[in-house]
Amino acid sequence: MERPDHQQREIKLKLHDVHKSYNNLHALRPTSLEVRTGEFVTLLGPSGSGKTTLLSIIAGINFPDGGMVEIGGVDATYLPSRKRDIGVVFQNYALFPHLSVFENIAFPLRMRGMAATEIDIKVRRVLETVNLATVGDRLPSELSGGQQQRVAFGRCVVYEPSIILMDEPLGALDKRLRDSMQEEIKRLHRQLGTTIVYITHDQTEALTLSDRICLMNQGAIVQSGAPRAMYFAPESRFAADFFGIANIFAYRQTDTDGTVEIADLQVTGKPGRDVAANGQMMVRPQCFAFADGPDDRPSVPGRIASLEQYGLYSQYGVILPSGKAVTVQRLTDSASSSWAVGD
Amino acid sequence: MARSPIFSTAAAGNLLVLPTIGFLLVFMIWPIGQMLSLAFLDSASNFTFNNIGAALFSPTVLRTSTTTLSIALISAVLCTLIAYPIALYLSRRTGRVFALLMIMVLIPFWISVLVRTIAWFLVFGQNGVINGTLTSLGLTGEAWQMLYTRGAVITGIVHAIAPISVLTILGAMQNVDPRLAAASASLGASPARHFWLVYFPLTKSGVAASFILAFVLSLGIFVQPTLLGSPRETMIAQVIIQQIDELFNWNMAAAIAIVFLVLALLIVVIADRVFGISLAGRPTRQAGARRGRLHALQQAASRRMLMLLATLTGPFFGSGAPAPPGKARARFNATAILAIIGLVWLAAPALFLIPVSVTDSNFLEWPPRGFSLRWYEAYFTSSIWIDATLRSIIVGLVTASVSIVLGIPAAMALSRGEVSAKPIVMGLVLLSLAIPNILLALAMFYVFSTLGLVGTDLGLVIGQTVFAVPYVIVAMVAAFGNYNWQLNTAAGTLGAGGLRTFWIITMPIVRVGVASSFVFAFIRSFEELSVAMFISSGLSTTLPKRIWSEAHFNISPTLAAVSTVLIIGVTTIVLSVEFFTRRAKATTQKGMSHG
Ligand SMILES: Nc1ncnc2c1ncn2[C@@H]1O[C@H](COP(=O)(O)OP(=O)(O)OP(=O)(O)O)[C@@H](O)[C@H]1O
Ligand SMILES: [Mg+2]
Repeated sequence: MERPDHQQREIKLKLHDVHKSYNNLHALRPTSLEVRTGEFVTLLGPSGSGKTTLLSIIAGINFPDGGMVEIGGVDATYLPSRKRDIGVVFQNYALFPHLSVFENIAFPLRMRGMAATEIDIKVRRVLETVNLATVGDRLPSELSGGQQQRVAFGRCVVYEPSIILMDEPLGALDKRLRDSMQEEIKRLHRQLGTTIVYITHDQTEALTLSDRICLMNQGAIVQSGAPRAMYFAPESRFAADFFGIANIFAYRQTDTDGTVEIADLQVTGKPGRDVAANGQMMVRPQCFAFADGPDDRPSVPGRIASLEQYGLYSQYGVILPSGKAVTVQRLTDSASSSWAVGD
Repeated sequence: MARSPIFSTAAAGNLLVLPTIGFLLVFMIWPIGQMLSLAFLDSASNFTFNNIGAALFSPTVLRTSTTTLSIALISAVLCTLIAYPIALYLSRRTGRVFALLMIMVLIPFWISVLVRTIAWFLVFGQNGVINGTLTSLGLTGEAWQMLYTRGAVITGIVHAIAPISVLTILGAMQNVDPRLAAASASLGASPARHFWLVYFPLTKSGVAASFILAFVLSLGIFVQPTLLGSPRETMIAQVIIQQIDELFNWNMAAAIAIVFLVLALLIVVIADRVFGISLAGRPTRQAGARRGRLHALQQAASRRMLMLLATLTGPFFGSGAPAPPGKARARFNATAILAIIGLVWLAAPALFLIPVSVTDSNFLEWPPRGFSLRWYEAYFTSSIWIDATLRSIIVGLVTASVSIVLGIPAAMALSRGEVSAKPIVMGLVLLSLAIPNILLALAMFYVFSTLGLVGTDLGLVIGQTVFAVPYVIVAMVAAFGNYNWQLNTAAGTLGAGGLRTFWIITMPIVRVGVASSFVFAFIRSFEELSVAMFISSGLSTTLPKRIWSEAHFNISPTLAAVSTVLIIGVTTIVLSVEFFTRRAKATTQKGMSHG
């Protein structure tokens, strides 16, 4: 993936302390965010965390109670959507049911008063891009869910908006279709180089697609960073839990050079980055390995209390001597059957 | 710095309902206020309570009030009794059968009350359907006097209002979870007990609403007692009309109206208390322990009564056990029989007019004699009838257009839920549906005469729009119920402005709803009598007014011919609206199954 150059690009979208309340509920606390040209930023968070609120403020569907929205260096806080040069892909697509696929995609061009011949060329090109060239004459209701999704995407990219906003665009699709659509979105992003702000509450989707993830909770962005960093170095218990199963251990600094001891694991060592003197750390379940024999890595005895097979991997509940329960995952292979409950 | 938006969305919503509110305030509330304030003025426009006093203690008012209230009460009870099984039967059907039964309720609903009253005149007459049939079967020697009795008046009123009761009760029934029946059965309740202890209490709010609506609507009726009743059946609306038409005493008319409205309101409130159901259909909240205990007693009593009813009616409901294999469960039970009788009773009277319209006799009599088209000829060649018909059509078209233009933006704002003025609009809509038409028409007559609108087509259009707009709002709110407002947001992000979105996205999608609202607003105006009676002048009048004057004078086969034309027209319209609605639905459903 070509990620590094984003840092040098100009800032496309800038939010400065935007906030929004409904009655007394802080749907969005003062939030700031900068998105660079061509960047793929995901807003990730549980239901009700304010993702849609933030997106609709960017889109001009909703206006903030305060703060500022800048698009391409221009104040756009109270600009109506149609003057923002943005595109939105809605969760349920919002395709116009009485217009054909072709007309749906042509709609934004017609609104811009483009000549018919030019519209024809552009729409055909987009239909090719989203692999829908053969269904242009059909009504949206005559398409499958995945095809409808691609129409929504096509309708959005055809007028080349400078930012595309997507609110859980794959939420209505089944798992398999979702995976292939993720591929498609990634390909289109690479191909078109558009700035994308993407909403999901699915952490895997966020990890797969994004250049950067903004994790939201209770109306605020609690952490943002590259997917790897978000996964392996969460800054809060909430962030650690949100990205999957997390084994949390308390640690204590034992030496001035930074060596810490983790009592439950009976290990000591130096953390790879600066941390507070005492606190909690997290180990992802797949980072444990079972010690089949003598090994030079630190190990700790434990008893397997439960075992669940998930196809690709197996998940073990292990009780450590300290009484602490941890979750361990490893790839399912023929050897794994040798580990059973009770060991 | 970008400008902050001038209008919040709520303000924009209020802007959309503003024209409707303004229209109804000026042409409904203001006239009613004006007319009612007359009750407190003497002929020299000085403040006085004399009119109210005179109205309160006038023996005529007392007598007609008693008559009106008793007729209205009996009618409301009968309406509800007849409507309940029909609604129950309808609520259990789906698809094509439901649509067909619904049409059987809707066609009588839309056929003019005037036409249906003439039909009853034919049924009950000295030489009418009942007497004529009995005589030709040789069963009776002398004619049975049915016309000009209280029974005839009540029959006419119940027939006019029952379709509305069916629709009201059906609405409540459709909110009941169909899985409850299975739940009751699994808990050991017999079908009879399930009905009386679970289902009936759940639909009680619909029954109460139907009863109160039927009662209020019966209060303002004047067509049936005039044509089907004797002077003993004179109802209050007739007295009010008489005060103005014959005695030119506006102050007295207003005073009678006030006294009567207060009396009626009192009865509605008492009925509400007795039934223990609030108008909104929510159970009344208990206050304090004493009321609580009383309420518990009441509940125990009503439960015992419902149990008793369940035991008594048990045989009609069957055991609820599955049918033995090879033997189909009886499809026709008590409900079905009552419902079908009810539906036939709703449809039949108007049908008798059709053969009578081609009679060769000079009188409205049964069975029709010979065959002749001369009554149609009389209608189609009379410039008076044709003028009236054309005027009704034109006024109806204009009324429907104005109502649509006012009603659609209001319905849009209401169904998007972005109006703070919603209670005001709903209040006005309910008021215009509940207030006796004749009172509103009189009020408009009073105010319009000072504005020079009486006798003009403009006055007619304004008056009938007051009645049609609420229908359009109710129908369009229903039509927007399935509309996905996110499409408008989407259009906005794609570059379309509000107005453009309305025309190329919203309108094409809800066009069937718009068309049927337009059609029904048209029918409503086309058949409207009260406004036409007072606002239109002698020669340039509408068809219902013409029929009314003629019926007053002599109910002849010409009226049967005119009625037949109206029946065929309304039936055609209702059927085609149903057809187009179904077709539109079928297309979207076909699409959805693909998606
Ligand atoms: N129009 C509204 N009126 C009142 N409250 C609202 C409105 N829109 C959103 N909220 C509230 O604001 C909070 C944030 O809502 P938002 O739609 O932004 O959440 P979300 O993160 O998109 O959730 P989801 O994943 O379920 O879509 C929620 O608590 C929601 O109930
Ligand atoms: Mg959301």
